[in-house]
This record gives sequence, structure tokens and C-alpha cells, in this order.
Amino acid sequence: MLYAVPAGLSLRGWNMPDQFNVLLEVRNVRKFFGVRGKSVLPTAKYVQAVNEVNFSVRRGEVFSVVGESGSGKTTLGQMLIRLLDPSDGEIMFDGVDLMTLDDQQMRRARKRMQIIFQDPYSSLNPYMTVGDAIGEVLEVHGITKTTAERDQRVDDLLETVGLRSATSVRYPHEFSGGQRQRIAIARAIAANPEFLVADEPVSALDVSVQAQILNLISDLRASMGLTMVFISHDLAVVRHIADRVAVMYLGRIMEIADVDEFFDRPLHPYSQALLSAVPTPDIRRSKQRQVLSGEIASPMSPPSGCVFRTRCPHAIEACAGVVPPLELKSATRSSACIRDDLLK
Amino acid sequence: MTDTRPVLAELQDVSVSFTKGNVTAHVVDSINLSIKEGETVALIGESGSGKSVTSLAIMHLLPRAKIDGKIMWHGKEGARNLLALSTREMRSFRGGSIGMIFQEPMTSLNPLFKIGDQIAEAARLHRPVSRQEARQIAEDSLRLVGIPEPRGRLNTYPFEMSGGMRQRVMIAMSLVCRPALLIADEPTTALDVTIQAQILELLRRLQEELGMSMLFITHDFGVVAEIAERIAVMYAGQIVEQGATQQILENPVHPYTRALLNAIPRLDKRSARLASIEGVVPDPRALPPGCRFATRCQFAVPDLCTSQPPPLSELQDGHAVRCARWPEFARVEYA
Ligand SMILES: Nc1ncnc2c1ncn2[C@@H]1O[C@H](COP(=O)(O)OP(=O)(O)OP(=O)(O)O)[C@@H](O)[C@H]1O
Ligand SMILES: Nc1ncnc2c1ncn2[C@@H]1O[C@H](COP(=O)(O)OP(=O)(O)OP(=O)(O)O)[C@@H](O)[C@H]1O
Ligand SMILES: [Mg+2]
Ligand SMILES: [Mg+2]
Repeated sequence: MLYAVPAGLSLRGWNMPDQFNVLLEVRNVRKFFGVRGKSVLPTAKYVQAVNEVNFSVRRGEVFSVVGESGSGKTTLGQMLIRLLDPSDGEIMFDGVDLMTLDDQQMRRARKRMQIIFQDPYSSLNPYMTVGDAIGEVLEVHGITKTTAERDQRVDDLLETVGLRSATSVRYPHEFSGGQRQRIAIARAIAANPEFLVADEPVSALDVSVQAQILNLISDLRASMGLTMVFISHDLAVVRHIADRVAVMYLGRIMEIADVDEFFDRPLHPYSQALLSAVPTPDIRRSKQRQVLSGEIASPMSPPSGCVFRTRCPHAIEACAGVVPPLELKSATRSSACIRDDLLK
Repeated sequence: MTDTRPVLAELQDVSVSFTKGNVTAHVVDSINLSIKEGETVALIGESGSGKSVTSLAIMHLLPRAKIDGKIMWHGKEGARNLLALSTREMRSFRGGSIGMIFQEPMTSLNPLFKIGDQIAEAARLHRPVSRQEARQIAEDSLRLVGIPEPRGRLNTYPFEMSGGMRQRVMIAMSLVCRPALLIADEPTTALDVTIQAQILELLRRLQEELGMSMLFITHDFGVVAEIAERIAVMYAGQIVEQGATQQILENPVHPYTRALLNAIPRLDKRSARLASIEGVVPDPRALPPGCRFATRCQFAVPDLCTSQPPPLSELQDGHAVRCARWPEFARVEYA
């Protein structure tokens, strides 16, 4: 690679021509799900799960997608590795549009990209031993040739994620939530991927176990040089793990910023509201906050113009008129809001 | 400043166990906890620590459990032990003097009935009111919890509402009889943060307006800081530390409380590494003889911590901790 990044150096603030740095580029991506009505005729109703989304992920960084339930995070994450096809737009992985790949090319690309799912209880096949679940990935991608080689690699992987190798002959139900999530991670890194989508990997876990898994993810990132899209609705977790943050609301991106900048000075009114809503175990800080009124609108009939305007404390009439584009507001952040006057 | 509010409810050495075959699970062990009038006490702990079981014991909603100890209720009619009440007496108590918001809102609302009918039904169960009046009470309570157009909403079904709305309905239902104590079991855990903030604010406002006491169950220290005056930390069925919210958050003494607080990623600063707690909670069917946290505790020493269970020791005004080595830790500033 032309511009190798020294180990341990964060890519934050790395000012380099982006085309050398970018591993994944998302261009104008949409995903609409058709909703079948009661009649036999096809209806024109759609869930606008992801709408006009644009961003790029640099090599070696952890790019976090945050947002409340139903904002489109999972749908977006699955499109990034083509578990779902976008309705529109392009997903460029290492310079190539994933949608133009044929089956064989896609299989080769798959080896380079993996996903960890939210639920440690349902993401593993209950009828497969842990060893077979991980071994399967090794075989599919032709990473190991012999059984002995395979078993050795499985043991190494289990050790990497902090489990004893005796684990391999046991079944998922014999493990706790945290241990299962380790197994899912071992499976995800089995083929030595460059790119990992982690969809709420710690949301189902208790804090003590969550800390173990977050530490493991940080270690793997450093040792494997992984590029990651980390999906979460827990902002404290995101602050801990991310380099950059994208905030979604009703399928659209409201703001993208470097992590410290985002947490110290959120720009978009929704980012501000979201951050102020998070309860913190700090009694001196906890009592002053801004509470948003109203509920998230339906993705089947999102508000015209800015989708956040129905709950935004700063909304004006003009907000209903146009969808605000995600615009660069400084070298390191973009925001989609027409009320620039506020955002100084 | 001393707190002169009278005690409303008092758990005295409450234990709960379940027996299946010849195996007994000791799920709650000798809990002592008191709740004053108008006070909010939080019960916090990891999944499986016995929080829900404790609250269900208060409500007599554990048919197959063996419950020991006393749950004293200091009402207008004098003190009585709730555990000694008959099923019929308890039924009127439940939903009358004590309201409860259950952990899963979807399973505690009947999907087949309109919410107006469900709330009216709850009102008629405890108050001698007509159908008409019950409907008015239902409408008023929906208004109280901030549901817009409450009259029209009476005719909707649970599935037609969002999670946040359903949670408001649950709260409305638990409040129809103006309970003196509200038990809220993780009332915001399934909700988004902006909706959670709305519900917490609502509960705070209602508590102020109605002057009720609250037992608030959660595993989120952030939520606790928002709502509770006192905290009881549970681990493997026991209270391991309790005290004023500020004492617990700023000067935790028990290694478990400290470890938990250190394991939480912070919103205001980025740390290189989180302090994790290795290992898992012990099985309630095979508890260790000494301190239940000893197997995961970095400060545990043989014999002192592993041979006999440590007592709950009182440090100062209301701050108590269950740890044999507490005198050493109490002097160490919490970083
Ligand atoms: N297969 C599908 N068919 C129809 N609608 C769908 C489908 N998958 C997702 N949706 C809808 O798309 C929207 C976005 O869903 P998505 O699961 O991506 O949200 P999310 O941000 O991951 O939410 P959560 O935090 O709850 O996981 C939601 O309104 C959801 O109901
Ligand atoms: N009816 C029952 N029979 C046997 N064991 C039970 C029963 N109900 C609960 N338990 C056990 O009691 C322990 C405590 O459960 P409880 O539901 O009180 O935990 P909790 O602290 O509320 O956890 P969570 O945060 O997950 O809600 C668990 O080990 C559970 O398996
Ligand atoms: Mg999701
Ligand atoms: Mg519970």
C-alpha cells in the first residue's frame, strides 16, 4: 500500500488525498422496502429505510453509525457487505462497485468483509459445534486445506478471542452471552478480513461483559489493522471505540464528524438532543438536559423537507420545504441542516 | 440534614428460593431495604442478580417460590406484614396501595383489548366507580402521562402504539389508583434515549405531583443518577452495597460497585481501555460459601473472603457494604 499508516497512529486528522485512503465509499444509497397492502394490487407504499446516504470509510478507521431504533442502521450495515442489495446508489469497496460483481467475484470479495450481529443468542447455528461453525468459514474460503490445519487454526482463533481450545467441541447453548459473542467474533475474523461491520455487538450484554468484548475488539483492530463500521445506539460505547461518527435519523444522515468534535461540540440539532438525552452516572451533570418532545415519525410517511423537523426545537417554516443536503461545514465535519445561523 | 420522612415499606431479611427436584436456587438472600414516603430507591445489578424476583416477592406474584422474612407496610391503618396477607387481601393491595410497571410492556398489556377498556378495568377493580366514571378516570390518566388526544386514544389497541406510548399506557394503568408506592421494573430499558428521557421526566413529575414513593429497578447507573435518592447494589441475590446516590456514585467502596462503575464507557472522556470484570455471576443453585463476588474479585484473599460470607457493615449514615476488606477500601479515594 502506498500510504501505509504506522501502527498505533490514528487516522484522525490525517490529511491525505482521499482516494488513496478510502476503503469503502457509499454513494447516494437508498433502500426502500415495499409494503404489501391488503389488496392484491401492488401498492405504492414503501418503508424508506435508508435514503440518499453518502459517506466514505478510510482504511484502518472505526466509523460509527449511531441513531435510534428504526433509523436504518442495520439496513445500511447489511448493504455495505451486500447481504442486502441497495434500491439505488453505489457501494464502492476498494474502488469497485459491489453491485457489478458476479457471484464468483462476490465470493472473493466476501472473504475480505465480515459482519458481527447484534444478538449473540441467535447468530450461531445451535446444531453446529463451535469448532465446525468457525471451521466452515475457513473451508468456504479455502484458507485451510487439511483437517489438521483447520483444527489448528480454529484453536488459534479461539485463543485469540480469549477462549480455551476445548471450547471447539461444544455447542453454542453451553456458553454465556459474552462467550457466544466471542465465538461470533472468532468466526468473523477467521478469514482475516480487512473490513468488518459490527452491528450492535455489545448491546445485548451486561456492562461487565460489554467491557470485555469492547477491549477485545480494540485489540483485534490494532493487531489485524481492521477497518470497521461499528453500529450502535449507545453513544458512550461509540465515544470509546470510534474515530468518526455518523448520526442517522429516519434513514438519513444528519451529521458526520470526528469523534471528539462530535461529543464535545455536536453541530446538528438532532445530535445535540441525542447527546443531551443520554443519562450519565454523574449526578452533577445529570439534572440539566433538553428533552425532545414527540416521537420518531413513521418511515412510511416521513415528514417533507428535513425529516427531523417535527421534533426539532429550532425548526422554521423553510425546513419543511427542502431536504437539507449533507454539506461540509469544516474540514472534518458535515451536517444536514439549513439553520446554519444556529450552528456557529 | 436528617431525613425525617416516615418509612413506608420495609423489607426485613427477605429471602426467595425456588426448588426443583432436590436442587434449590437461592435467588434472593436476606435483603433488608426500606423506602420512605416520597423517596425513590433504585435497585441496581447485572442480569440475573434477583432484582425482578425481589419486586415480584413484594407483590405476591411468585406462586412457586419459598419466601422468608417480612415485608412491613406502614400504611394509614398501622403496620402490617404483606407476606402474611391472604391472596384476597393482597389483590386489593396490588394496584391499590402498590402499583407496578412490569419489565416487558408488550406482555403486560392485553393485545386483544382497547387500552381504554384495560385502564378502566384496572380502575373498577379497586374503586367503586361506574363504567362511565371509570372511562373518565382512564381518559384523565392518559392525559396525566402526556398522551395527546387522550379521549380518542382510549379506543386504540396496544399494537397500534409505539414502544414509548405503550410504556406511558403502562404507567397510566399503574397509577389509576394513586398508589403510595410505585415499583418500576426497568421501565425505560427497551426505549430509545430520547423517549427514555421523556419517560424519566414524566416519572419525576408524577412523583412530585402525587407524592408517591418509588422502587426503581435498572441495570443502568446513568438512569439511577437521574432518578434515585438512594441506591442498593445487588449481586447474586444479595445487597452488596447501599447508600445515598452520591455516596455510591462518588465514593463506592465494594470492589464490585467500583468495577461496575469502571466498566462503563464514559460519554465525557475517552479511555484507552475499559476495566472489565472477568468471569461470570455464580449459579444460584451452587453458591460459594464465602463472598459471592470472591471468584471475580481482584482483591479477594483466601480464607478471609472465601470461608464465610461477609456481613453487611455500616460505614456511615446509611452507607453499608458487604465486604470483609471494606476498612481498607473505604480509605482509598475512588478514581
Ligand atoms: N425486510 C424489511 N421489510 C420492511 N421493512 C423493513 C425491513 N427491514 C427493515 N425494515 C424497516 O426499515 C427501517 C429501518 O430498520 P433497521 O432495522 O435498519 O433500523 P435500525 O436502525 O437497525 O434499528 P434498531 O436500532 O432497532 O436495530 C425500520 O422502519 C424497519 O421497520
Ligand atoms: N420462577 C423461577 N424459577 C426459578 N428460578 C427463577 C425464577 N424466576 C427467576 N429465577 C432465577 O432467579 C434469578 C434472578 O432473576 P431475576 O429475574 O430477578 O433477575 P434480574 O436481576 O431481574 O435480571 P434482569 O436484569 O435480566 O431482568 C435468575 O437466576 C433467574 O434464573
Ligand atoms: Mg438494528
Ligand atoms: Mg429483571
